[in-house]
Amino acid sequence: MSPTFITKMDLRGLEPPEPMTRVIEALGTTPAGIILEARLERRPMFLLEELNRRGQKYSCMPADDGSWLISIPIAEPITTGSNEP
Amino acid sequence: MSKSSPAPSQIWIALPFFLFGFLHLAGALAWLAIDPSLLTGTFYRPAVIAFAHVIGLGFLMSLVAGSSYQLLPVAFENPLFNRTMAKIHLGLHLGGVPTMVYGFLNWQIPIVAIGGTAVLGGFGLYLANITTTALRPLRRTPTTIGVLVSLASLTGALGVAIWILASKLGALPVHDPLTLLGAHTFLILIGFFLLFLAAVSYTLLPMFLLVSLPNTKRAFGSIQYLALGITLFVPAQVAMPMLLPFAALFASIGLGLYVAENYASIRLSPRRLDGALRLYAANLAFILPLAIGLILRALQLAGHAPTLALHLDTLIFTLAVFGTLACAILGMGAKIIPFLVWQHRFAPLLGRALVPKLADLVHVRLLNLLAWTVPSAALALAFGVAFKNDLIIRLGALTFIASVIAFQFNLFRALTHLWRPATKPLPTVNHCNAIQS
Repeated sequence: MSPTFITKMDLRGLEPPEPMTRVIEALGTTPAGIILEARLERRPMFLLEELNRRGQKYSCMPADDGSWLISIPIAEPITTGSNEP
Repeated sequence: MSKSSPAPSQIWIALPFFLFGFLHLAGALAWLAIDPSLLTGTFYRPAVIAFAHVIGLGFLMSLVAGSSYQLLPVAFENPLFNRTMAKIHLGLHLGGVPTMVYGFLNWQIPIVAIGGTAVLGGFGLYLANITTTALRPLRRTPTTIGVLVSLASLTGALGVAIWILASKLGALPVHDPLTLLGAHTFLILIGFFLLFLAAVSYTLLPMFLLVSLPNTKRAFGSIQYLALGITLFVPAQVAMPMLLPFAALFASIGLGLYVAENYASIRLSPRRLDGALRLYAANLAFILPLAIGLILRALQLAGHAPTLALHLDTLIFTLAVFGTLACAILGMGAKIIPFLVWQHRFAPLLGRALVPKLADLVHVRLLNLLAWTVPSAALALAFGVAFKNDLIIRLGALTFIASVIAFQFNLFRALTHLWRPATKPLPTVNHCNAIQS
């Protein structure tokens, strides 16, 4: 199934690690099939590390205005509601 | 879908460097409280040289190395070239620095050479690792270019150190060891540590203040003027003293532009400075007296200003180390280390458990207090040196030690989350009920 809908988040102006927190939490609540697109102040190195750790696919590229856009296709919610890491 | 290659966390390499560095700062201050003559007496003697290396290698270099492995890959937007090289550097540094200090203290040059070889080997790995990281690929930002210039200065300083050591062992002739010592200190203090600080601040400060770098041209200008000052300094110091005032002037202009750029970032920021950033910002206040001291000392060496009772070399050292560098390092350390702990321990739990906020990891009021006590203690040390007053130096050192202990308490509070993370289970959501309602 190819994702069609896009959920956009503008996370500029948030102090680290708030942008990462918002994106990762959104991964758990966004329905499968949707692309999560977040605009950030700078390249989110720590967020990318965390997405890699979770095996989550993404693309990250600079925008014309100097900000960075990260697009994450949601395959399935990654949260289970459990407190297990 | 393209997948970028981010910089993995290097917390287990950075943290030992940080802890080793803060331990040496506390040790150096305790030593200073016991023996204030380290800053008021003659500086060309074993105890003072050992003390300078506790500060330079034990405190400053440890903090710079730890920060480099953790932060520079983020600033360069390239993964660290080689983790194993960083681990070997850590081992060589932890073993080499105490050996060198012991050798200097007892004036046993062969022991200094053994420790120095280990430290030098570590530096070689550090230089190769960070330079390669910066070049894969090279992004022409003020931070990247500034760090590369500071590494070139470090290489020059190490070359001078080897020359001094070889002359002590009788392998190389030296006309005036004090001239070489002056060149070594300038290259390390201004060319490496202060230039590194300026370069890194152009990424870190805007990041914490949520602004873009106000003026990239000015940031590059600060790097260029500092580089010009450093390049001119060594030949001027060794052979052409008439050029020294120009070297000092260029370095001072570079430092002035660094202050202007940092101040502009602070003015642009929509948020009020917290305690850690106020402590960082205090470093800027020490730059003006430092620049005046540099120019005055250069004029003295060039024979254009009278020799004063005031020992300018020691005053410059005190302002640079305890004023600018210590305030900047402690301020940024108070922001970065809790962040690293949070990122390492809690980022993997996001979406799976309730995790504390970053601010919950530290004692905010304590940081607000440190923003006053650390600069005050540094100021007291500078006055104590200027007036050759042992009592003021002791008071300054004791206030500084109390501040560093409080800082370490705060650090420990954050570090406890590494082995005892404060998490709570997520509230269970009944999806069926949620949809029906």
